[in-house]
Amino acid sequence: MTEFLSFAVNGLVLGLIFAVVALGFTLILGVMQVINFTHGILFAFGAYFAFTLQKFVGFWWALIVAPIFVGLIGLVLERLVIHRTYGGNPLFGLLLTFGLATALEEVIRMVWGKPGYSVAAPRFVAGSLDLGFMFYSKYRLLLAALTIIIILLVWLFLEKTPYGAIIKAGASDSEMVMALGKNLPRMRTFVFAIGSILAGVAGVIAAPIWSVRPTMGTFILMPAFVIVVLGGIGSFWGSVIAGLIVGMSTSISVMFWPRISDIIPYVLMAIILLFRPRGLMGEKSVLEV
Amino acid sequence: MASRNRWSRWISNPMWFVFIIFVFFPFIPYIGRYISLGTEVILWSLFALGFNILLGYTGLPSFGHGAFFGIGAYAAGIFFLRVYKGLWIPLMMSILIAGFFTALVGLLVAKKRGIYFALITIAVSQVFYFIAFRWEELTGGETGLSGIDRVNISFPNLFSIKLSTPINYYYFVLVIFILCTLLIWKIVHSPFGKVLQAIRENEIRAKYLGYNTAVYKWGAFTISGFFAGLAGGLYTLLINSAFPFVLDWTQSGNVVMMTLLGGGTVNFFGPILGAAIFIISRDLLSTYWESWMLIYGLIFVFVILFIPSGILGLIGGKKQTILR
Amino acid sequence: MKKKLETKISRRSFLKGAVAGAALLGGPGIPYIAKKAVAAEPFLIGVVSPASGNYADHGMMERMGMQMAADEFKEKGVLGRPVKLLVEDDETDPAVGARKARRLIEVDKVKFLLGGVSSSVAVSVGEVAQRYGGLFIATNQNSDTITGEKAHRCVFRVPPDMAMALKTLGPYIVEKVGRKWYFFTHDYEWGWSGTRWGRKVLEKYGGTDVGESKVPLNTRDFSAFLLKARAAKPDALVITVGGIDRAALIEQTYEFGIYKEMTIVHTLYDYEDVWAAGPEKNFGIHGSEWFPGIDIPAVKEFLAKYKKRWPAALIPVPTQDTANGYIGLRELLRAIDRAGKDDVTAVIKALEGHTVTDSLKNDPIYIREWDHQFIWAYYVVRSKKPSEMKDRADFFELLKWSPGKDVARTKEENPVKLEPYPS
Repeated sequence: MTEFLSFAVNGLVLGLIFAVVALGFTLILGVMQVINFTHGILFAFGAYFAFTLQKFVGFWWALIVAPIFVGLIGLVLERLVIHRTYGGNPLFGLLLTFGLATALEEVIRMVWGKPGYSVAAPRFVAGSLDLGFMFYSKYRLLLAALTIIIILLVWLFLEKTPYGAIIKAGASDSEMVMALGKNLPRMRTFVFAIGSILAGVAGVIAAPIWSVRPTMGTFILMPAFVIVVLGGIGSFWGSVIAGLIVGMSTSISVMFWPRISDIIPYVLMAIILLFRPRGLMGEKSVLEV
Repeated sequence: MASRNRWSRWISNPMWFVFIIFVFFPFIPYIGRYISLGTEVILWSLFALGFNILLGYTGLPSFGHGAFFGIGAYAAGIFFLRVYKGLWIPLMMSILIAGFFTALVGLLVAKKRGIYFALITIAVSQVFYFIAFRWEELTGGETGLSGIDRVNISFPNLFSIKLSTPINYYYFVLVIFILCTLLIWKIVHSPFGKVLQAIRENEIRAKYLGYNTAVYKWGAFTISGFFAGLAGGLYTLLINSAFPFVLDWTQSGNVVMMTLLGGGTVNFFGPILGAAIFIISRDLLSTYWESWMLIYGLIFVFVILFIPSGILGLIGGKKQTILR
Repeated sequence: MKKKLETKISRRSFLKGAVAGAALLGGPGIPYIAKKAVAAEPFLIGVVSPASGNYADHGMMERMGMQMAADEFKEKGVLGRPVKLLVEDDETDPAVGARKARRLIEVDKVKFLLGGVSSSVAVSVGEVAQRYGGLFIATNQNSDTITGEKAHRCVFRVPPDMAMALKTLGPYIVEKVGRKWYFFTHDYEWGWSGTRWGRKVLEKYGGTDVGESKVPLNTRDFSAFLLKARAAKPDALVITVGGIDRAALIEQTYEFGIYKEMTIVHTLYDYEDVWAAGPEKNFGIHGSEWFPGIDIPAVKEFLAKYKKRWPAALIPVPTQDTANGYIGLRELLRAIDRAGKDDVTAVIKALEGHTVTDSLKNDPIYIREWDHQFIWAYYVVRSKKPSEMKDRADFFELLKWSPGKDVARTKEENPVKLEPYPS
């Protein structure tokens, strides 16, 4: 029984990381209709920047600064290249970002080298918490707290600020937003930067437990994809809930049959696409032709 | 009078030019030595041509066709190792089994379009990838299957062709390719093919004209799957093995890229040119430069931004219509 | 307006396309051909090694070792010809590895290949070598099959297999750590072989198997497995998990503090992964093929050579991959010299049964003729605490070593049959 509880908590924590990544992904997909395949590499950049920064300023400052750097990278990518795909078929964006991701993975190898690296978690969360009925790593509890805070911040932004409201609207219907006369290009750049920051911060947080490697982004990219479709493109709660579902299903299936734990998210995604294409909480979007 | 026109049109078809290049490739000094690459170019061209029925002609962007290639590859391998050590039967199986699964998946996606079509195909192909990766007993898992030989073609008492030599296999694949290319040409120029193009241009209008577009889309999907499976089977025989990596998402992305790069959206031969350039340059790139992935990625970006109609589109001056 | 898919293009525009295509291909092709013409008959050796993908770091280390061996032959060459390494990236992908191997053999007319860090790549390259009449020396993979079920006359393997690993490590763990073992098995061929041999040794020495977790490839999250292991309360957690998954496992073993409750045992602990994890995250007792802290003159010399040759290396010491790459190429070149001719069968015979006295380990290498396995020592090491480390790279303390011949598989354990010599 203790096992099950620990597994469940584990699934939630995993799901929270996924949710943060998916949030960024869904905003970009919703507002700009870009299937952002660089999301995985932005995640990796977060981890790598954290590794480098940690040596100088420690974990907490790295947690704040690294995602900003990642946001800058996202901004540059968007301004230089990605914005050219807007308004076109979404497949443009997919192939383009795929090419960028491939190139950027090599850039990481060129800059930081091929060996792996390790990021140290803060001292005070080293080790585990043994509550008798549950045994769990302290760092992951910190991780859960951090991700919840981030998700909360994003929610506050989308719900409580006027700019956020526009973005939220744009995530389901960008044409309407344009008609309202807002500066669309600037908003889109902003959204891409926010998405990148979210991917980056997830990378920083995940680094101490997943280790830092050039190919690390591949492990959250496809799940992000699946979560966004499952939850509904452009939907905040969709990403969060679907993220938790995917995290839980992965963790619990490991308990019974590890081999299929990878496949379950895709099966869920295929089912949703066939029977409720808009996702669990999505609104009928432009993409649903 | 009419028959002479038809003849002359057939003869001046660039297809013969392509075939002749492939026939004489092994005789080109130095580069011609790289026979197995030539064989790969041919079978990927076959894959891409079949795929283009779906992408270029019908306008449906499948990002999961690597899965059907892989199913064909494994079908041939599994049949060879477990059932019958022949040549034709494993190949037939690769066509039929891949076709079967494509038909099945096609039923699920025939009614979709655009991005949802792409998303489902990605999801489905990932499911197949993980099955290949994890179902050790059937597929050999990460290590894959090996020891798949190319059996001789033998007509008893007459002659026997040793397919295990690279150059013989090259010509074997070329013959199959030629036949398939002719077949695909016929398909896209038939009334069926015309309807596909109509669907690409404006599906709603095609529906109003009375065509059951879902059936046509399913048909295009399935046909492309047969060719994908055949290419997969030929590939397994080429490398004498089957690996799960061919079902990976990136392989599906590769075939889309090949088709677009060459100009498959505006030209029948685009996929062939695209396959050739893609495979050859990728091979050369990674030999020359350890950081080849950088250039490779940038080329992707460049092609999408500046030559979305592909090379033949650029030269022929035609604009493609599916990636508006 | 009618938009028709262009099917009948004018021959002119098609020719233009073909010419453009040819130019694109000829562009890089021409300097390549030119490069070939200028070189004065070098002896070509092909290297198929990962420079991208999950094993890029291992590939980098083994190539550095091979280069060091090639440097030693710079003066005299081999068979009087200068040695030239043709390096190809296998992208940690067996299909790519096989294609590169075929190209090296078909186009560059190379007969001798080395490399293949990933087992599946090694298997596929080995197949190519066997089929196309080449010779392949697998330098860095440890699954049983390369010198077992998928053994070939044209394939040799430098590093030890899991039998050697567990027969050395196992008895020590049972004796000094405990009899209750929990296994982490990477769910593919290599992982299974580690656990299989672990179980055999455990049974022989009277231990208890308290459970196993099969870890699928590309697992990021080990918390479920660690929790299960903890519940079983073993003395030793015997782990045969490698690659990028091991990196995450190390981080999480530290994160959960599991190492405090049981002894962590990696059956084959690659130095690249120890290095990446860092001094804080190093704990347990492990099996190692080779590590830079082995206290023999040959190794100290090797370290010095490495530092001199690669002063800017990201990992300042050679790893087992470097040592294996070095030995693999060096012995290949020596064998070619002994054979006296550029012929695969002659070189195979020159390798089979040969003893290498100046190995980088405590015992000489015996290149066994019936399975083509290099038989040499395996080590049991203890992870040093950060305070015990003399420098940033001093991770291990040697506890015990076994000579290769004591722990290698016997003919009963490995009933392998190699093909006849290529004619």
